[in-house]
Order: sequence, then structure tokens, then C-alpha cells
Amino acid sequence: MLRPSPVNWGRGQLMPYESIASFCGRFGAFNGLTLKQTRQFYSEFCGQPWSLETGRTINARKAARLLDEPVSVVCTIYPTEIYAGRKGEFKKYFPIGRDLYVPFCNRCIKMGYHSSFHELLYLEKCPFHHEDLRHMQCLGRGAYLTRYVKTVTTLLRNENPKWPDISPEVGQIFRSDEFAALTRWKADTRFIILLISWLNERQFYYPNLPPPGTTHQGRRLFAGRLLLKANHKEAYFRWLLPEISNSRLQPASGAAYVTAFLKELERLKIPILRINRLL
Amino acid sequence: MRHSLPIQFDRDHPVIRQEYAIYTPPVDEMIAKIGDWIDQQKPGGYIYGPSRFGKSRGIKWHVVSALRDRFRHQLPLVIWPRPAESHTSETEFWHHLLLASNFHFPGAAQAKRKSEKRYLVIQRFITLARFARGNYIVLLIDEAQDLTLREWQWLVGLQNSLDWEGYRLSIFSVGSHQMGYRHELLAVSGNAHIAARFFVAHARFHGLASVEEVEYVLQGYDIASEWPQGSKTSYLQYFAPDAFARGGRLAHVAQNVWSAFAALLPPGLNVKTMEVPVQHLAHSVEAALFRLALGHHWEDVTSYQSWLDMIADTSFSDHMRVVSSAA
Repeated sequence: MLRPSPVNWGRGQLMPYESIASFCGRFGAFNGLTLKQTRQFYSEFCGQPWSLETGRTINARKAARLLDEPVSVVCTIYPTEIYAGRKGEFKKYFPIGRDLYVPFCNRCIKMGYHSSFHELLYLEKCPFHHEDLRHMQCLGRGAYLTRYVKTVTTLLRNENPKWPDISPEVGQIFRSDEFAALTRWKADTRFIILLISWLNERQFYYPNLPPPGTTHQGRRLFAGRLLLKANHKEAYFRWLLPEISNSRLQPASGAAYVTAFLKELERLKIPILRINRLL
Repeated sequence: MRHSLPIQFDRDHPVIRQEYAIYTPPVDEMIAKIGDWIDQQKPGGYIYGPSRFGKSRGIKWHVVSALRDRFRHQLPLVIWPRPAESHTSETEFWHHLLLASNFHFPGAAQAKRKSEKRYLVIQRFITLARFARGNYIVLLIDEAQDLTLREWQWLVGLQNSLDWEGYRLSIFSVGSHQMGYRHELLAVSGNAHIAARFFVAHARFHGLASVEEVEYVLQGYDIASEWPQGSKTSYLQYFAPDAFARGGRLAHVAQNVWSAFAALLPPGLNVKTMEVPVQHLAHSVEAALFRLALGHHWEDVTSYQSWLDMIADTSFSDHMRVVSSAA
């Protein structure tokens, strides 16, 4: 006999590709918990410390049982292809200058939704609404994680009177052709994104492109160019930064680019085994 | 007597611990009535009956499984055994509902205020309804005769809030026969809306009213019980294995039991309308089982005179006198 979950979270409340920050804020609101308590609960529940960047290591089946949500949906809030780093600090994934910013789409926020897609470094526009992504400087002081979640929560709470509920309209996004194209694209580029994340994690830059110490914008351009080389379908370009989509880079197949990339790594004597293990 | 049992009798046995409930016809009737109300999605209903008749034990041990069998799935059901002490604080009221619904964080730091507690209760009920893949939830309140008017008003608010969110809440209350007066009292004191919601549907919880019903209960001890789980050993078989092997059954002496109860009924009460509280029968049977366990002969223990003694020890006569004067 299945017992109802002891936490407040009903089936269908988790949205696919919801950002972990949004999930944390909403879980806390539904259960009357602070962010610290939410993290503590999850750490105890999972038997290991939990944070945004290690969220993917949570046992998805266990989490799905707790939340009474399908495993397939739970997996999307820990998208390994986006948060590819195994360890490291949160700031490495959102290194916008010295300050921490929350990228968001205004229309999504008004529906109570914030997606991990909004957090992709190389996207200029919201993949659901094709509107320019905005950036809000994180509120308060203290740990990056706390500030980030608080800012996402504040945004959602201010813009959506029904928060922590999400508008049912969000469901339509996931039934659209646009979303289907986006997920195909994400699957196609998974390998490249992992490489980018690996590079980000180690502050490594491709020799002929943005050198070490370059601006965040430079890194976003670099990441986008990698993707452009891997994916030359016109439909994808509109989500990327304009500098990337207008560039004259010759499209190449993903496989060919990866081969070249690995050769380059070999030339630089960077151990490929580490990459294989990462992937 | 339970404390002088030989060492071979496990102190964890439900009969020794008095942690069991035999399924009785009145419990069956009560659950059937609640099931009917659920079928009709009534906003409320109340069941009332004298104390010690087995209402609470029936709720604790049988309601969930019996309703699951009837509806073939687990209903989103919250059972709240309301504490006897009076509640003056709304925060405490919501806190108790959170506890009753098996919520993991009833003392959450962000929910100190009553409005926050209330929000958590609403979310809790929504979660339970969603778990059952529906928009319906049942709150069953035991010992509801002590609920204050303010508590009923908070429950009206809860029902309204859930209704606004698209979820239907039925609130069924079970209490002593004082509840029979609650309906009229609320109606004449300007709270007819509460009476209309929660008290229009009602049913009386009966005691054991015939020798056949007593026989049914005794069969529970004879064969329809089991401990340890999976052992196929009934309660009677556990305490009196030899007598059980020889074919001794408590149900066979149901007439002796019924006659003893009738003989002990206080003057002025009609035997034809007698209703035996389940608790007095249970305590008498427990005494019989312990005597058998101590080696007393089956014929002695199950004789009419023996039942008279064992039932008298439960203060049956005094209880019936009190109950009849209160009704």
C-alpha cells in the first residue's frame, strides 16, 4: 500500500525543466521552510550534502517518490547537460562578472515559471517566448546559492500573485512544437554542452578564441560558437546571442568538430581520459 | 489478571496490550454509512453514540482498510482524534490537523502564525487529494463532541478555501451522544449554516443489540483474528490452545454471554432494547481468555455464572445507568 508523501507537494506541481532555484523556493513555501531548512531536509533525505550544482546526484527515483512526480520530470530539474560539473562552486556556473545575476524571461516569470534553460550561458532569448532574457542582480549578501534562490523567489513572488503555484498556462509550453524542437536540439548538442561545461569548470579556453581572463560575454560567445559548429540548423539560431547567429563561422557536423576538438586537446597534452570520465 | 499470566505469553500480544479491535456489526454499519456519504460527496455528516461503544477503536483500526476495500483504492482520508482539552488557539488547531495528516514539518519555522499554519493545512489536503489522483478529501474527526463553535467555523473556512482551489472536502464527525443535541443548538444560535453543512446527515452508532451480534464478535476472537501476523493463530487459539483443539469456541456460548448482560441490566431498562457496549464485552472476553491461559477449565470459564462475574467486574451496570440517564 502506497502511503502519501509526508511533504506538501502534489503531483503535477513540478514543471519540466524548472530551475532548481525555483523548485527550492516553491518547496519551502509549500512546506513552511526556510531555504536552509529545505537544503537540510534534502541533505538528510538524500544522505549527502545538497546544493544547486550537486543536485543532479540526488537519487531521482527517491525524489520522485517523495514528490509524487514522474521520474522523467524530476530528472529534468537536474539537467546534467546544463550543470555538467561534478563539483565546484556555484559561482562558476553563473560567472557574470563579479556580481551574481539571475537570468529570466519576463513572460515566464509572470506565469510563475523559471527554467534551467534561462540559465544557459549562451542563450540570448527565452526558448519558449523568443523574448530577450533579462538579468537581475542578486539580492542581499552571503552565500551565492542563498542569494540566487532568494532573488528567483522574489521575482516569482512579485510577478505572480498565485505563487508558489504555477499558472496552468505553462503546461502549454511543453506541448508546443517549439519545445519539441528545443529538446531535440538539446539532445543533439549534449556532448558539446558537456565540453563547454567542462571548460567552464576548469576556466579553460580554446586557444584561438576567448583567452583566459576574458569577459563573461566573451565566454558566452565562445560557448555559442561551439554550439553553432555542432548545430547548423537555422531554426536554432534565433535563441543564441546575435553575435553568434550573425557570425560567418562555417557550419560543421558535431562529430567532426568533436574529433577536431579532441585532437586539439591532445596537442595541448590535456588528458582526454578525464574528459571521457566526465562524459 | 493480565499481569499474572505465565511467562510464555508474549506481553506484546494485542489482547494483553489491549491494542486491537474486533470488527463488529455496529462498526460495519458506521463504515457503510460513511462510505455512502463519501459516495454522495456530502459536505458533512455526524455519527453519534454513547461512549465505550467501540466508535474510536472502529475508526482507528478498521475505517481505512474497510473503505479501501469498498472503493478499491486508498481514499485521501485524514483521521483526527481530537484531543479532549479545549482549544483556544487557532494556531494549535491547525497544528493538530497537520499532525493528523502525517505532515513532516508541522513545526516549520516559517509557519508560526495561524494564517501560515492554515495555508500549510490547505496545501497538505491538496497534496493528499492529488496523491489519490482526484480533487476530493475526507476529514474524519473522532471525539467531535468537544469541538467548539469557533473550531466549526474554522472548518467552514477550510472547506470554503479548498472549494475555491477546486477541491472538495467532506468533514465527518464522530462523537458521543451529546452530539445529537448539537444540530438544534447550532440552528437556534444563529449558526444554521454550520448545522446545515455538517449535521444534516447523521446516524446513530449502536451497541451490540442481539445475541447474533454478540456471536459475530466472539467469532472474531475464535477465528477471525491472528497474532503473530501470518501465524494463522487466532486469539482464542493463542491463549487456550488445548480447548481450541478440542473444538471449544466462544461463539458457541454467545447465549450465555447475552443472558448475563441482560441479567445485569439496571432496573428500569428494557432488555428488548438493550445495547451492549463493545468495550464491556471485550473486557469480559479478555478476562475469559486470561483465565483459560491460567489453566481454568473451559466449562467453568464459559458458564453463565462465570460470565456474570466477569461482566460485573467491568462495571457494566453502572455504565448503563449513567448512559441511560444522559441519553
